[in-house]
Amino acid sequence: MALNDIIEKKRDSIVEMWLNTLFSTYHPKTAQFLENKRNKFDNPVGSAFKEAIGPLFDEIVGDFDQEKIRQCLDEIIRIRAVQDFIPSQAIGIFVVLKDVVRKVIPSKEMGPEIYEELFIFDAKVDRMALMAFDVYMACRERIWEIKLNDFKKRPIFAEGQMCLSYMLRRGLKHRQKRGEVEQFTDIRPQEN
Amino acid sequence: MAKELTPQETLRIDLRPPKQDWMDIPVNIKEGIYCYPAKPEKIECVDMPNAHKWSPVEEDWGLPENWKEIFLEGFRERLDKHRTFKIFMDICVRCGACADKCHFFIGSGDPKNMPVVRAELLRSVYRGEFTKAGQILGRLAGARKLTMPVLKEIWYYLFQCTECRRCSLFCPYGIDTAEITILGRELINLFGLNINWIQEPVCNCYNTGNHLGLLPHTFKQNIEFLCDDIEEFVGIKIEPTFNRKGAEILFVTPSGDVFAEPGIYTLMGYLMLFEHIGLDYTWSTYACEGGNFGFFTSLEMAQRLNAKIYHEAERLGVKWILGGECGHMWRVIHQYMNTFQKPVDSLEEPISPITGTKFENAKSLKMVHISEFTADLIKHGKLKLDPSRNDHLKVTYHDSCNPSRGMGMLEEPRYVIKNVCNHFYEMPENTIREETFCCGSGSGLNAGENMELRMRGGLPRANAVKHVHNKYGVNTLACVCAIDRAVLPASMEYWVPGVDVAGVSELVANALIMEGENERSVNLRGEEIPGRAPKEEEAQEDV
Ligand code: SF4
Ligand code: SF4
Repeated sequence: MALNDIIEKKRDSIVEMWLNTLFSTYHPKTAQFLENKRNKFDNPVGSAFKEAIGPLFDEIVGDFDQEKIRQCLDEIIRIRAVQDFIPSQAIGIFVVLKDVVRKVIPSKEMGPEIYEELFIFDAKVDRMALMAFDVYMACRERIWEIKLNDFKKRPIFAEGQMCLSYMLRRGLKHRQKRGEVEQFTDIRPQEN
Repeated sequence: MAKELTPQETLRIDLRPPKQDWMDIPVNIKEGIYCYPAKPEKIECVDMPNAHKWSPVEEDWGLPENWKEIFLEGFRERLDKHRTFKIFMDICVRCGACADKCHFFIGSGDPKNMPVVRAELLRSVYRGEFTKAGQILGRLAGARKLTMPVLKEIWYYLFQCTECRRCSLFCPYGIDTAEITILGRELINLFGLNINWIQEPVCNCYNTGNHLGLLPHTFKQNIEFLCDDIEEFVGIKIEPTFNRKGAEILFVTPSGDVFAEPGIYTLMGYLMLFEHIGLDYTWSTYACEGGNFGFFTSLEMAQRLNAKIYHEAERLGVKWILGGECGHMWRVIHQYMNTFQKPVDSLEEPISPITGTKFENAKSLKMVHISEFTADLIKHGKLKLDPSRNDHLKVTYHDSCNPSRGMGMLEEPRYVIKNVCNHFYEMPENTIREETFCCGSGSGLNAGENMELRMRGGLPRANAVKHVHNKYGVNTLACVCAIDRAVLPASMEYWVPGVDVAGVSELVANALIMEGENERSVNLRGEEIPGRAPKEEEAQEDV
């Protein structure tokens, strides 16, 4: 039997096994919650995983539309990028698909005639994994960007003092508009 | 030669974490999750003990030799003093009803963030150190001794709880894990383990009256800058008064609204609203902070910092106090102020000078929430409003934990929003009102260094916003809390790009038809309002 036929026949069990592997990267108590709590708003993480993993698989074995794949990856990785995983754990779950698929191939079918297709499948998984790396990095960079924005946008606790530059800049804008050149005095509380 | 892996082995990547019970999983303190320790001078400034330099990721936390005694003694004291604490330590049946209700558990997947486990962190010590059963049966009774790793674990998870009380809503016994966190934080403050994001505002607030340490003239200057902005964007000049004796009303709001975006737009909203109705009120540069980070430190500190509001009301001789949009400020006022402070005889039962409405709910506190006040104005037709100016906004409302769960204010902000905006959409019902999800950064966890934690905690709220964003095109998340305004923008940037955060009073002011106003082609942020570009410019463009 060709690999594609096997995959088509076993699609649901592959997706389920893959999803379970994803859940199993959490503590068993958490995994139980992620898997079983149905309401999308009570269980946003489990629901996002469930919603993304099927279409992701279909896209890999189907058209391999990169944008669609990226979207599915984003749904999963955006969450895992802020959880307690090191990078390889966060995206390792995508590489695992190779193993998942091998598990559903009956051993009698496993032979040279399937290798070429398997090779192509693996290559697609690799491409997905590389995309996952990009998405992961984009999420992590976003976090740092947000951290930076957060610090820039408001007066910050810099070295034991508040930096009031934000309001000062704002005030300066108005005074310049009115043509006032008045200097600002340092209004921060003086240390000792 | 290296052992060669078979292809199968190579592929079998094991991503499973340890399966043990939580008590056997050692704590792993991570950058991005914890907040930086309090600076010694900020601890000394309010006479708290053991001010010292330390780091959560280092082995030695610089504790006094007898730290265990201090902790256990403090524990015992609080068990005696707070009946609830004692009961919460005793009666949990570990039914698990609260387990999956915490935004930090939902977002992180870390079982120690299940409220029941968070409480067990302390409860296990309670059993191991104070109960017979625990001392005899030990682990079998879920008991353990207080050790340094245990203390570190307690510390780490005390600062992964926003004291939001969502869990308590689902507990059949009403166990309030927030209260356990509050008292737990008191305990670690007995030897100088506060975080700076809480301690510095506490110290500043104590010294100058507000979190940022703004001195009176700066506080005043900042508000005047915002009046300049109003003049530019709305075309009217507002001249608020400060520390004016004899004003009818004292207005107190979190200082976050005085300096940070987008809170400043909410403050501009207050200024315009009061101008619109000609309210006889004053700002105070002394009671210039509604927020109270003392509440995240100890109840005693909360009381100390809260005292200034009544003091100032008395000094200025006002009749009653109006409070701005804030979350924990209202929890403290609504649930503690009456017992924290002596009643002030000079204050009167609040009556709106515009509508004559008696705020009977504020009979003993003498303090009214701005949303109650505004809703009453609208109900009596006292505001001239043009909600179409907000037509480009599709608005949803985030119930902040404290106003909703803490004081039961659910309808007023919604009523106000619906009167000033034409497009309002609710998020799913298990994510709003009493069941609202926390912003993920409350109780002093709105620092920058713990952004990963904030993102985890903010996920369930953001997920519900994402739903209405996708379904109805919601682009504005309204709220009545200064911490929300400070932290939800970051959460939206990560989880739901395209959604802005606005205070309810900002939306009100954008719809207010002010006497003598300009064509109002820009909003309070100075952004052009779609479809309201000035006529001349349009004409020029046409040429
Ligand atoms: S109070 Fe809120 S943050 Fe704390 S454990 Fe309960 S649900 Fe979680
Ligand atoms: S719901 Fe109440 S009794 Fe049940 S585990 Fe949680 S705190 Fe304990």
